[in-house]
Amino acid sequence: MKKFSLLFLVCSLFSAVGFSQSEYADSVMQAALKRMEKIPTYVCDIRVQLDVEWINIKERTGKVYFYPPDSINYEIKGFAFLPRTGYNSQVNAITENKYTALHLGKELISDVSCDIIKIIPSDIESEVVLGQFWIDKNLNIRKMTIITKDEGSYSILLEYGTEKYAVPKKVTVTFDIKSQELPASMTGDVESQEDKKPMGEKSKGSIVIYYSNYLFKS
Amino acid sequence: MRTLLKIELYKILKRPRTYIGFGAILLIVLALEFAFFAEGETLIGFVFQNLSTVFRLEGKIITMNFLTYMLLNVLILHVPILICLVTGDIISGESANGSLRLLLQRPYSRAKIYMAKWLAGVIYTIALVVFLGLVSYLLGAALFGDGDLIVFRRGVHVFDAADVQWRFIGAFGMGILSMTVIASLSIMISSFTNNSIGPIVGTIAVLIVLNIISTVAANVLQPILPYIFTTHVIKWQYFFDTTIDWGSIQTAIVVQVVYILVFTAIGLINFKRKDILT
Amino acid sequence: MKLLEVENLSKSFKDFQAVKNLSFSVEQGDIYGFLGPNGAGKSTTLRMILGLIYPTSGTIRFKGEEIKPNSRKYLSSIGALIERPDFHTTLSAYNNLNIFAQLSKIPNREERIQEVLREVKLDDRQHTKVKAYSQGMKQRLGIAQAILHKPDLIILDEPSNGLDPQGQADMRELILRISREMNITVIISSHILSEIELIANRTIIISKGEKLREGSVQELMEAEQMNIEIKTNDNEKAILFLEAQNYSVDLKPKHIRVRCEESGIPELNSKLVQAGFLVFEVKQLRTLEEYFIHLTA
Repeated sequence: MKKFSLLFLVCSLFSAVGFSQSEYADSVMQAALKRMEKIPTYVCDIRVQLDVEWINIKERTGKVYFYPPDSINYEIKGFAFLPRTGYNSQVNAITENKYTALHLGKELISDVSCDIIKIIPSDIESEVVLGQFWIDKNLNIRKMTIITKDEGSYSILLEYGTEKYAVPKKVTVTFDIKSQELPASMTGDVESQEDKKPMGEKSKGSIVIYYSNYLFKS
Repeated sequence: MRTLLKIELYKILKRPRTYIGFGAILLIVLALEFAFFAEGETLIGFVFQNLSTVFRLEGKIITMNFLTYMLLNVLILHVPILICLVTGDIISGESANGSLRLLLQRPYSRAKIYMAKWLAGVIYTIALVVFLGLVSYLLGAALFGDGDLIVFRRGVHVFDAADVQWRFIGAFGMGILSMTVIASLSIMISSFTNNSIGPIVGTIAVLIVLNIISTVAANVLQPILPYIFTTHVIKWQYFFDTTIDWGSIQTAIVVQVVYILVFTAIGLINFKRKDILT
Repeated sequence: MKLLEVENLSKSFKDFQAVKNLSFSVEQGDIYGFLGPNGAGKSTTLRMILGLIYPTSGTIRFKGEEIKPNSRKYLSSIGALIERPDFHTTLSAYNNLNIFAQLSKIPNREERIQEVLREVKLDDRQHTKVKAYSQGMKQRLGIAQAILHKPDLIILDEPSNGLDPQGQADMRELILRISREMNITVIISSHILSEIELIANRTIIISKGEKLREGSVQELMEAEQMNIEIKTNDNEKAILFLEAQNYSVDLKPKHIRVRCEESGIPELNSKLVQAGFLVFEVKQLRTLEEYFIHLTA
């Protein structure tokens, strides 16, 4: 009886701890989300650099127009490869539905201590399988890793400056990408048959966006 | 020589078949550019399918530069045929209809006459290639406007609009050189025959056979491929690499110039020595 | 003065010899007939003179200077119409002549073209495309391009080919006019032997690439026997008489044909008259054609 009571006490204690950890993770996540929600409409200058082995493109410059909660328009000189959605959309995509949050401890990101919050969507049909966020004490999301069902995984690293809102000065999106090879009959490049790489080979790529000269519309 | 050249150009301009080449190029350009104008998004959808799953593609994809690049690919097979229609006939046609006899009765050396015909053929070739470029560019500008150039060549290359003009100049220059080789070949064959159709068919046959051999026996013929002139017909594409392989371009230029000289020399020697029996 | 001299000219093609050691000369002012059956080597010889075909051996001299394989300058003094006249059919006569005038660097080009078109009677059709021309008109245009640059010598290969009798007569008249009024020496090759007979003053006959005879038409015809047609009051008896006199005779429906040299005609006539025959007609049947056929047979 004594042993059973002790066991019951220990289990209750752990679940209380576990329950409070989840609560803590959720509270951190929610706080970070609330900070993000405060970002007003803004326009700022951007520089975009793409790093994919088989894509050659120079740095692009332009402007981005942000409309809360997560709408983005770009004004880029020339053609550019940009992330499919803004980082705000990425966060909202995971957190707008039910999820379970877990706190996995702390880690240094760009020399800043961050809480690691794992988000597990409750909806089994959800495109996002898993998300992990590194949130600093100022409730800025410093890093996020998203694993999806069909579109592979990607990481977003955010660096902040001195803006009062949770807007980064630099965002680095790292992703998986399949190599692209078109038939020579389309490209006219018959020589490429000689040193053809296997088609659809996956490799890592990244897009780095520098943000500056924020103009907020309060 | 100037008089001879002027007359050869006049004769080319007066022949209806001269305009077949320009007409065909105009039709090809119109067809392609209007197809892209009407259904460009669908046509390129397949090409950008993979990329659009990963990226947001911002900016114009279909631009005048893109269309001009696509149309440069007609250099590979279509333009050579159109060139042969005129240059293949430049000596043999006159031989067949007897007017070569009247020309050779004039106090001009056969060498001058051959070189005047060769030059006229080359001028026609240049005009055809430049026409291709101008029509593509101008119609593209009217329909699509300027913009970056996206090239799918061993990966994806995006060239700024401002960085594209000199590349096109280089590419068309290489194209002109390649087509001059073909013109020289057909004029050479023309000096050997007395009928119009032989040199045209002969030149096209040579091109097709060499292209097939280069493709099918690429591994076996690797050491000699750089010395087969058809290998270099696509070298204009090298101007659309991020890092240009100037060495290969240089080799291509040298090889093609040598072919021009050899074909012209053979044709000239034959023309000088042959008995005019027609 | 000898304008053109050909010495031991030969031309061999792969499987046969077209011209064998041919020698002849053309004097300034001649209308020189070039005769021979098909395949005799006439065209080949004329093409060698024009530099269209290269001789295997032999020399050709024009105005005393030897024509070498790469010589071209002498052609500014020669005009030619070899075989059919081939022009750019999509161009008019005027435009065709304009091309040749530019090639020949003729001064006062426009004036000269009009002069020549008037000469060949094509001035009213000068802007018609050559493809609409009749054969006669094309031949005349051929002559026009040959004389355009006022050459010293023109070479005409079968100029009356394909022409009707009137066309042939017009062509002869044109050639004679060119020779007399423009002081141009003419070499004319033809199968129409009566034409040569009428206009040529000197002739060469070649066969199988070799010269058979050369000389004035008169000399050629006088050198050999000819057929004489005689009509008497009793042709049958006359034949027997003449056979007895060792003449070669042949009875025709209305006359007797006798082979005899021209110089022997008076004697023949005299013998018949002395034998009591009444001679109504003595006619020479000798034509160059007959002579030519006899020689080249």
